[in-house]
Amino acid sequence: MKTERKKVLQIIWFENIKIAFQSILSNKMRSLLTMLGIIIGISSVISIVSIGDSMKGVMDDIYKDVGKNRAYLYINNIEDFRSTDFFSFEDLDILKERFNNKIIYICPSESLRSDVTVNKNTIKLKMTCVDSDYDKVQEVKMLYGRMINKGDVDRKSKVIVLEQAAAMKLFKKENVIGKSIRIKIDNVLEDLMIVGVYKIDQSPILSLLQGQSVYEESYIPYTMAFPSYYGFYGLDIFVNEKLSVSSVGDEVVSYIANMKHRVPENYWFYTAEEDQASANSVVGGLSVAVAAIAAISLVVGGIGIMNIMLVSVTERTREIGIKKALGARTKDVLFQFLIESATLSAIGGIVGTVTGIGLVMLGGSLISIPIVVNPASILIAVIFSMVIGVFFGYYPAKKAAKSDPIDALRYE
Amino acid sequence: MNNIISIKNLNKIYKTGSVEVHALKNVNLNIEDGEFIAIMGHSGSGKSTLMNILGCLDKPTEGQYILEGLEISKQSPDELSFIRNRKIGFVFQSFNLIPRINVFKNVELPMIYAKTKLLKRKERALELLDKVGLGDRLTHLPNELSGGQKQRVAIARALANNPPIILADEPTGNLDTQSSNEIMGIFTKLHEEGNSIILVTHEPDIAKYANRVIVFRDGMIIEDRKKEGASNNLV
Repeated sequence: MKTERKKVLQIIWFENIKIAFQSILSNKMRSLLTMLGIIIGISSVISIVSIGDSMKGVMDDIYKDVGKNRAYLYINNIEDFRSTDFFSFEDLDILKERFNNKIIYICPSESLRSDVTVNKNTIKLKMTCVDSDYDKVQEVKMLYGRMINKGDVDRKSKVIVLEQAAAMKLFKKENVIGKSIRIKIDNVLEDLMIVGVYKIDQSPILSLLQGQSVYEESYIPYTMAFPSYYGFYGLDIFVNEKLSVSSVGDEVVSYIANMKHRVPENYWFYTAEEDQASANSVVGGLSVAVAAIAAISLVVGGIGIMNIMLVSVTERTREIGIKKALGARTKDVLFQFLIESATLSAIGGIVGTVTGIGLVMLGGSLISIPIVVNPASILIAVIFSMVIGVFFGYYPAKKAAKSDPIDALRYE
Repeated sequence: MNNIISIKNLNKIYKTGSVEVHALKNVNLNIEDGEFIAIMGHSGSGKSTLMNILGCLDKPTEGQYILEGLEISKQSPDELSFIRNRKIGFVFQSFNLIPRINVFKNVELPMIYAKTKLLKRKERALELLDKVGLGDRLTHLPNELSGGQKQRVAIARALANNPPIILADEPTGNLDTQSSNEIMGIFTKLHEEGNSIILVTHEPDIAKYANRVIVFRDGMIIEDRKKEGASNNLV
């Protein structure tokens, strides 16, 4: 008996949906204009959400390059600064030994800058100081020759590994192994031999974000750049990937604080992970804010639907009267109009979703970043648009359903 | 005595602002199953008001209306919808077909609300449209039909749920003589088949088809006569 009732109910649902489609189709232009509000609203929400998601994807890529196990240790906020507070070469050796299995790479976080001229071609060169094995912890894509090795560091060799663009600008060719360039370190001229050429593979979006740097990149052994009595402000650290970066950081900080008779608050252990989290939260917050603004247009679209449904109810007053005379209950009329407005806005939602994804795909292909479209956001968009249809369709539908058949029949 | 409709001391007062219109005054009326009644009167005589009350579209201000044993004034709007759907077939002067849907669907509509199963519904609609001679016009929209044809669709629709009473409010009011005669022919046939028909008209030519004529004036029945030798065809 119950299933019988259910079946019978389904029939009238189906009829109502058919009636809704008929009524939408019989007023194509008006339906389209009504849907436009929802289409614009949904497509902007969808595209903003997926731009946000795509940006997060780009961020992940960027920080994958940087390395999640990378950290920097800086001296921070010491009022009575002493020369012993600097990290010395000895400190480096102590840390290397003490955290032998926890830290896989440690090196002063330093770089030098100098103008370099070869055959009247002048470039500005940034020389990043590295220890040996830098290429073991961070990917360095060698084109020719080799990376800075242990021998270079131990012997303080006057060698340099150039980035391909620097080589091209100076020598008009990539393979420049064995050639020398003259640089100026602390007003002292040095001739460095090029032992390797590497290439930075940068995603277009990253270079877009970072902008064009005036400096060309290169690597030099840190022992060559600084005298052995020199002290450093900061250290470049790679933590063993199996361990938590922050807990190793805490250990290192407290060890150093103890060693230097300072408190841990005097040091700043900065991780890429932390940086990524804060960058992600900025991107996330931004896209939520913009999506919220876009959602306002959904409300405007909803009001458009309400308006057109009210017109539709007035137009069909007589039809409602006839239907009521023929036995339509309040519920039947209510559902007919609710289904109509929900269908109207759901179609708008679907069209809007397709438009939004299309726009983002187009934009993504223009600036060549991978587009992330969250299926959940599509589902939410369509359901949300139906909810808007039902919400804003309820008042007109209720008005239609409650109308007195005799007044409705008399209506001309 | 088989009263399908029984009305006792029925009063209907319309209030528009401070003006009160006493549209029906103490009307008493019994209608038997199988009767063909014409309700006559000038405009404003109360005949349309009575028609609306009989059709459960309006409620009396005072008095009792019993339709097949049901006290109508006590029903909720949805119960009234149910009663209109199952017990009353409406035929209006202005046809009142739904313009956006075709002839077949118009006839189907009362059966959709009655939750008749799809197949049975389609069969019944076909059968009825054949009966009124429009079996070849199923997919036409109402505005593609002549007045007489529209009214025949309306009659088919009125018969859809096989109601005990057919209420026709000036069914020939918008039709030419020939179409009027055709429509009245259909009503006569329906009456012969045993349907109870209540017809509102102001034309004596139409009223003569009925076997009982009730005349209204100023909200009161001033005449109620049965035709000589009229029988109900139902024994």
